[in-house]
Amino acid sequence: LYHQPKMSQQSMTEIADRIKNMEELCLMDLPNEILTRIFSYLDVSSRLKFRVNKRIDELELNAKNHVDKLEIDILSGRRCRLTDIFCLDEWSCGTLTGKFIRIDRLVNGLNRLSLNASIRSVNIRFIRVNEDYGCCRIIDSILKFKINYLYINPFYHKDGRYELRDLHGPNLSTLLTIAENITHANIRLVWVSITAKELCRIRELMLKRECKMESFSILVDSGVDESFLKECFGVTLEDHLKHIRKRIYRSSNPMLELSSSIPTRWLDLRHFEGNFETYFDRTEDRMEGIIENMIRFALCSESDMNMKKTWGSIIKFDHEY
Amino acid sequence: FLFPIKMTSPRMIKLTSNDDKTFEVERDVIKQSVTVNTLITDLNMDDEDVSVENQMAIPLPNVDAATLEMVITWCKQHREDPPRNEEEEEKKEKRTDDIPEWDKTFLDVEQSVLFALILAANYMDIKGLLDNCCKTVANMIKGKTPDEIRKHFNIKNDFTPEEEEQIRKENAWCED
Repeated sequence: LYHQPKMSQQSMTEIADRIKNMEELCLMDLPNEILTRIFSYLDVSSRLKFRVNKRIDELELNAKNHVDKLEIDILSGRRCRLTDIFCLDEWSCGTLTGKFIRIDRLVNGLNRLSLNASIRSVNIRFIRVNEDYGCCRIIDSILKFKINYLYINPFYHKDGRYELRDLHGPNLSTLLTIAENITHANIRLVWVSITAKELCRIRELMLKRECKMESFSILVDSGVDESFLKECFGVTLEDHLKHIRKRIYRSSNPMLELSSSIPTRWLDLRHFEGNFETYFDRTEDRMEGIIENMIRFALCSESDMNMKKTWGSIIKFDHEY
Repeated sequence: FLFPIKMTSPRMIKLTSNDDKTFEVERDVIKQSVTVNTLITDLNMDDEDVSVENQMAIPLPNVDAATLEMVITWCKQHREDPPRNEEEEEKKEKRTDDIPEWDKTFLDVEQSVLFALILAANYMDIKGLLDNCCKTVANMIKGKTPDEIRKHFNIKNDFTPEEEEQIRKENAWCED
């Protein structure tokens, strides 16, 4: 049933006039919890612009802000494009979609947002190989957010080597920040200065569930993957006559269980400790001259783990493959 | 056989505003106010044997008569609304383009009236009214620059020049 109020529009106006004459209430007379409630209906851009005095600025800083999806295309070291930014209100955020923004401006905005915002999914794509690493400033800012899913990818995989370098802090502190703030991170860039020791540290934290991170994958320079294999598992590789891919795996721990889908392959190794997976994958594109060395750590579900265990065969140590 | 049909008038509740005006409102209408509803239950006022004349009025010391009248009008309009599940409401996407047409017209009032309604809805704990009022304010904010917002709501800028410069830098990426 549709109930029409008995009061006419004229009498409503009279009532409204009476209220208006009683006291001139203004927005700043509202209590903090109401202003915070109003924030919850504003998109990212409006929230930032609503900081019109000290009280509202402080309230905004203390109010939680959840962004569902942030997608950034990095066009060069200086320019980027927001392809998608949704915060609660899809309609009004759509106005930012496709906008070209100077990276330094976006970094200032992201730094402020990171103080109280969490993001469900961040996707950063590199359109061109960065020249002056302005993009790394964006990554620095992004790593300050609490994020569920972070993807950093080149737009075209065969467009050259994309590097993660010149980050603000030392590698280990950056890694610890990532582990603390991000649940799933998939970074398809070569972290040029990362060491096997640093990777071991992050793996240990994840393995002991001492951080938020549940899965992490990164590209590393050639040799770092093998150093990590030695540092973490005490495994060394002996490769002879590379063109026929003769390989011997050596380990001081005969109980260690490593598997590989093709043991003779340059590097494709999987290790499980409980339901924690450590995975190495080296892909080579001889035509393009690109080698990608990927290392991944991840907590797996029971079913995922059982399925993956059937994929490869157990490596025999001191055996000639 | 014909049975006598007992005609029951709707149960009425008395509410008194802070300027001592008393309103009689149907129990079913005012159930949307969690504050009033809790008082009715706690004070055993649902006893059908007590006539409305002998019933104690519920004082609402934070709401004036004119605002209370508007709140009652809103509650009458929304008496058939399904009960809200606050957990579900929290999970829902927070939109501002879903205010019902009747509410849009109802809330198209002077700012001071809208803010009085917000305070009353907050005090009386009427989530539906509070939400639609907050959405209306949010719609007034959207699309405006900080200066336009200050002008619209008559808010004084108390930032130092340095603070203002910092805010300007932080907002630069989302400016047109």
